[in-house]
Amino acid sequence: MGMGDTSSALAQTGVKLTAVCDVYQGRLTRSRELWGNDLFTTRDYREILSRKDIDAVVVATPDHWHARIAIEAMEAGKDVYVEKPMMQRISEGPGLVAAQKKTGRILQVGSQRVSSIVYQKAKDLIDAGAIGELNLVEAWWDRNSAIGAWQYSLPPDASTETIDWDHFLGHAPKRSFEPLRLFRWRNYKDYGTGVAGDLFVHLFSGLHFITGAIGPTRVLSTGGLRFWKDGRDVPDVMLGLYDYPARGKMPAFNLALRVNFVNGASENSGFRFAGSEGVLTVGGGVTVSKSPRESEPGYTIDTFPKPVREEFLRRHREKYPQVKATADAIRPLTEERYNPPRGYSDHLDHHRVFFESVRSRKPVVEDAVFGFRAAGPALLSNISQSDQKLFDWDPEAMRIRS
Amino acid sequence: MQQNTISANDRIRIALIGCGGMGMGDTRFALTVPGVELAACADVYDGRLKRAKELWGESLFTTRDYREILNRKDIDAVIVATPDHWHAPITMQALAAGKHVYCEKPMIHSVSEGKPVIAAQKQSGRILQIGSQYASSLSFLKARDLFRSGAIGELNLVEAWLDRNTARGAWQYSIPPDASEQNIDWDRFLGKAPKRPFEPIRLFRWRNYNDYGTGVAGDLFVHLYTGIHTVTGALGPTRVFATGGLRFWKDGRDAPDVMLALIDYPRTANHPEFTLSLKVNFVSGLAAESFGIRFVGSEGVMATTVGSVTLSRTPRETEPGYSIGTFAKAVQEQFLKEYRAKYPQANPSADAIRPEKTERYQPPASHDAHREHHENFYRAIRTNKPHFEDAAFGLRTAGPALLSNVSYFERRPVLWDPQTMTAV
Repeated sequence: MGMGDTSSALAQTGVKLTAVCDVYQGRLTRSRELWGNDLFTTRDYREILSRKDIDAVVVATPDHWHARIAIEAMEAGKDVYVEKPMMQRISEGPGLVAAQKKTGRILQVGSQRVSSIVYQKAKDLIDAGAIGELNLVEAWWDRNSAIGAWQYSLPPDASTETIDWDHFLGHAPKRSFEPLRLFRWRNYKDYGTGVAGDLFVHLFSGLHFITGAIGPTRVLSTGGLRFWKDGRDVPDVMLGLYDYPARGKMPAFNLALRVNFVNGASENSGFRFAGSEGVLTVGGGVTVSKSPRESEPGYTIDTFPKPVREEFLRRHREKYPQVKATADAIRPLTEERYNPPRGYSDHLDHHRVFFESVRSRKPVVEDAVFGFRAAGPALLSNISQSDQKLFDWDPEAMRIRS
Repeated sequence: MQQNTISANDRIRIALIGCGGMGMGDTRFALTVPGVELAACADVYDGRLKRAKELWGESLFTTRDYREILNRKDIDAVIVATPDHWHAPITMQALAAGKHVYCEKPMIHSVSEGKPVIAAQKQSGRILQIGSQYASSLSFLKARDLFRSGAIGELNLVEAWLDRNTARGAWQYSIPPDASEQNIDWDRFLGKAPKRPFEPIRLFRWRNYNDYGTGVAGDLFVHLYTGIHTVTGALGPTRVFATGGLRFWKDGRDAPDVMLALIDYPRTANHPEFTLSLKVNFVSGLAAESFGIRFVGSEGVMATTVGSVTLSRTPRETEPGYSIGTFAKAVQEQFLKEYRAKYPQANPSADAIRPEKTERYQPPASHDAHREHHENFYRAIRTNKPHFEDAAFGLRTAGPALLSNVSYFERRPVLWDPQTMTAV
């Protein structure tokens, strides 16, 4: 992810890569292969933060390092692009929000769909009433492969010589060298945040951007480890239900999330917004299917005796005069598709937005508060799943209600 | 226990208790079965008794009091198609009176009624079949065969939904213009429900009120559970959580019009542990009603509706793939050497293209699950071999469905013991 971020960053004009940090030596070697031998490389990120010639950092470590490095970087005067989820624990959220406020630095969280023209289009359509009153949002991410299930490759030269194991562990519990836990860190609660932190966060970010919602009031999640039993301690099937309260012009609605890493048919992800007058889906593009509501309610009178049926129909037709069937009376069922230009990359756009803010000092949309409001309910989903508990969440104050 | 006295060629005389849309529909299907005759009808609204005579002849015995039907010796079986709060009381009395019973779903109005119904059936020795016709649908029986044969590998998730978007779909049934205290036996409608003054909308749209109906859970989740239990052989979940809201049809009802549930199924001999996700949306934004159940497994997905089963299978990948772009060039080369020693490169050939099949199974056009379900009921009476959708099956589907209502209204997850069929 970090190298991908850097490619997108370097595609922006006037952005130069100065230094790279990783706990595995091989990745520092790789960085020099990619970006030149004059690159400064280190196993200790603090050597980067103390340099005066660096304006901004991309934090793409395992999740358990996100908050700490992001805060230290802002305190060292750097602007920060931090991968999602912004934090590993809910308790780290307030510190990030406070640090951003105090330092005045730009902090953008790396859920790129917040800068996507596809999501902007979806937002515009919903704001314009394309589907009437929203009542339900479903979002899903189905995968069915080893790589999709985080079985990332281990380098054959992984050793205590090439890896700074203690630095990787950081505040996580001490344990002896086991490279699997570094290279597949998403599989372990000590370093990652499971499917909720990796993928629910994207779905919350997209949802909050499109609807203007700031978070649910209730969180319940369930699921289990059904297939990828490779020693991981996180589920590979996870579903969540979330209650969103009415806010501004947006009515109360329900959210249903699903991630399945054992989807025996296909790999895909998307959103479905159901409203009183249509359905909007978001995937690679946006689709709106409109269904105008019925012009009369219809009737169920077959169980009434004949005179009562006749009286019913007389009154019904008084209230709803029979429209003579004409071509005009055929209800329009439209489906509109909006596709981004070929080759469009929201990842590039998200980095463009970040560096624009770095230059203009204008705040980004996906700031620490936005990141907290997306990561909070996602991380709460993990606790709900493992503790089998329903949680009340205060989306305004960003804390668990007791 | 009483002896079943009906044999293969005997006529079966039935009565209908509750002559609304569902009851009259049931009766039409019942009367297509050879040897089945309708003898009597009961309803609390006189208009429906008149309608029954219009449809089935003036000689039909009609009454507002179902007990007059249970007392008749010439009636072998009854269809109970009343509002939900009357299902269990009438079913138990009918069994005790020696009648076979076809009881509409859900079998019960509250979970506590379940065990007494099971006991009543046992004691009577009569056939009790619950009216969720998916249990007789060839699509679901085909899906069951496919599931048992391992077509989708290891099951991990089931999703089921029913989306509607019309006034009638949302239970805004018509109210007869002549409805009055003269032609409606209001107290008999109320039964065990709280006393309240005459208000015909509560009778004709009883599904909208928890006092008589069971909301989307009792009307529709029950069907979804029936389909899922039929296919998987599951006995029931251990935990139920439901949420939703009344979003659109704010006509005075006290039941939600959007309801979602997440349900945990434990491993049994018939299936691995899986998660069930249920959805009913009466404000779906769709032009047409949509219904389906998706069974997701490690090697395929099976989608079932009343009209078909679609099986999409994807064999699992033959090698895990790799993500080595961040390793140094020399390490990448070393990795690939070791990887290819373990997973020899298959020469790309036409054979190497992975088959991704979708198979679709459709029952014959003549098959109607609802009619089949009635045929199965009368076959069960004649052969004295009950259909599997019996009282226990009915509690195992209605129990967790009704617990969704408990979870929704009490705003908490609810635990259930599927073996003993009791709320924990």
